[in-house]
Amino acid sequence: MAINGNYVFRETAANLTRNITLTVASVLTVFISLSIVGATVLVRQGAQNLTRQFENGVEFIVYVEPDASESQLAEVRTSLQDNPGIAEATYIDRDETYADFKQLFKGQDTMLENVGPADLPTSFRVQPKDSSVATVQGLVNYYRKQPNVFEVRAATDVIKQMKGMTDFVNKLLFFSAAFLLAASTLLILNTIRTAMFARRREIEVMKLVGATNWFIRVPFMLEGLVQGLVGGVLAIGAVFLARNWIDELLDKGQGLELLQSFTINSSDVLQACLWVGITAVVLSVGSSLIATRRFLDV
Amino acid sequence: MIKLENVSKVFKGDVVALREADCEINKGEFVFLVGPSGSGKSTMIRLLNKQEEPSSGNIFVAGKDIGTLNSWKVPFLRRNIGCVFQDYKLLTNKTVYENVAFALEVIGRPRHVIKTQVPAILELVGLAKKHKNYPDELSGGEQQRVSIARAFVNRPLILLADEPTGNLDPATSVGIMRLLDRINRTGTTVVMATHDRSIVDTMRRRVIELDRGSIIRDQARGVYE
Ligand SMILES: Nc1ncnc2c1ncn2[C@@H]1O[C@H](COP(=O)(O)OP(=O)(O)OP(=O)(O)O)[C@@H](O)[C@H]1O
Ligand SMILES: [Mg+2]
Repeated sequence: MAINGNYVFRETAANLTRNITLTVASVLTVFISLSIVGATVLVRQGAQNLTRQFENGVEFIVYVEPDASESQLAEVRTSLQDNPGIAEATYIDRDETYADFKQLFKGQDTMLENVGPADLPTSFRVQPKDSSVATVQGLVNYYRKQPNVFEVRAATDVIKQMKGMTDFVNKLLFFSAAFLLAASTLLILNTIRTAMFARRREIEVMKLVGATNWFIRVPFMLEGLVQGLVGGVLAIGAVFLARNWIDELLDKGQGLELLQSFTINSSDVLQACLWVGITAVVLSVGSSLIATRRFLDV
Repeated sequence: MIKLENVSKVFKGDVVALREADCEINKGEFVFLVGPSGSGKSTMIRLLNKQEEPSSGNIFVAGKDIGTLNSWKVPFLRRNIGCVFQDYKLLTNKTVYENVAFALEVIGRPRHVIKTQVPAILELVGLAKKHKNYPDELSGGEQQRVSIARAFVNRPLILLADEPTGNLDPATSVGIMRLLDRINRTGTTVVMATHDRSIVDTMRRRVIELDRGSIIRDQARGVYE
């Protein structure tokens, strides 16, 4: 059956504007919950990028006890060279070690104040064969427990910290998104129900004169769809804004040192938008279907 | 055109609204349903366009067993059945013209059909001049004419009227009955529930009398009691 486009447009517009406060409330809730969906994806992608970046040529530094004797130093060297998981171990003298140390502890002022080049240990720069975070972390932990080793410094520590933090943030975002999505669904259901109640006499007449169920449903379904999609478009806008904001933050070198490696590229933004879009469509189609099924006994 | 076979309708709480009703109404007939309040007249009318389902028995409308009708076909059944009520059921935010056009619009009739049929039917019910008025600017009789126009604009085979003159004075009621009679003479089957003794007695059409859900009289060219 041909549905008169004019009719559908007019009725949908009337439904949406009849109870404008409720419509705005549900669009805003959809917007916020979908923005959080977008944020969840961005944080996850950022964390992944961070890990991946360190996985390329990840190395760690084994500091030998400053008061170690020549033979003790040789022991450490042999242990490193004989380890099958290690590709290369380069010895670094005091001056070079201090330069590296400054680099690694950049921003951690107490460390820098308390340690000068004189009381610095010599070190080995170690290149593992397998660069996955787990293997590297295994090697690091192993050498921490070896005798004559003063300290092991590795980027994997940083990654672990970051991972813990982003995992936590991600969980938080995920649950907020889930709750807010539920709230959005209920709000959309409610606006549709309100529109149906306002139009109950029209619906009664439509049924009596033989309008098909779909004909009666479509304007209400579109109402839900419009709310969900407008919220979705706003959320996609928010994702782009957030990306710019993060970039700016990182460019200025504000925030945590660690976040420098927390990058978000265009494909991540696209992926976030895709998820926001999919959620928006599922949310709006779903709640429209539920509403018209439940509240319209046609 | 309409056939009831052993039809009963029991509402929750064991209220028997219709008890083993049997009757057949032919194409073009004009039938009055009479009986005291609560005897089942409205229930019988509501069963005919599937606003209610019978508890038992079969109902045939236009040769089809409507009990076995797919739910998606019900709207198409209803396009063949016009409905008129005591309270008119007009949409107060639409003009006379829009109220009638609405009935065609929502069943997907093209605009050019609406543009010719609505003025024609408003002419028939004598409201051509008031097509721009809103329902609350009309008298009760005029509002009922609009509702009849809406029920008949799609030229249904059957017109169901549940106390169409229930809110009108005798003179206005006569006008409404003339209109229904005219519609009946175009070949439309009319079934009308009423408490109006004088209308039934002057029209002398078939009368089906209900009492506590049972058909107790079915009389051609009958009177109210
Ligand atoms: N939806 C319903 N639920 C429960 N009982 C109902 C329902 N509709 C009707 N009834 C009962 O069925 C019986 C018949 O009602 P119906 O409306 O058919 O009577 P009627 O002949 O049209 O009366 P009136 O002349 O007052 O309009 C009544 O006892 C009524 O209370
Ligand atoms: Mg009644």
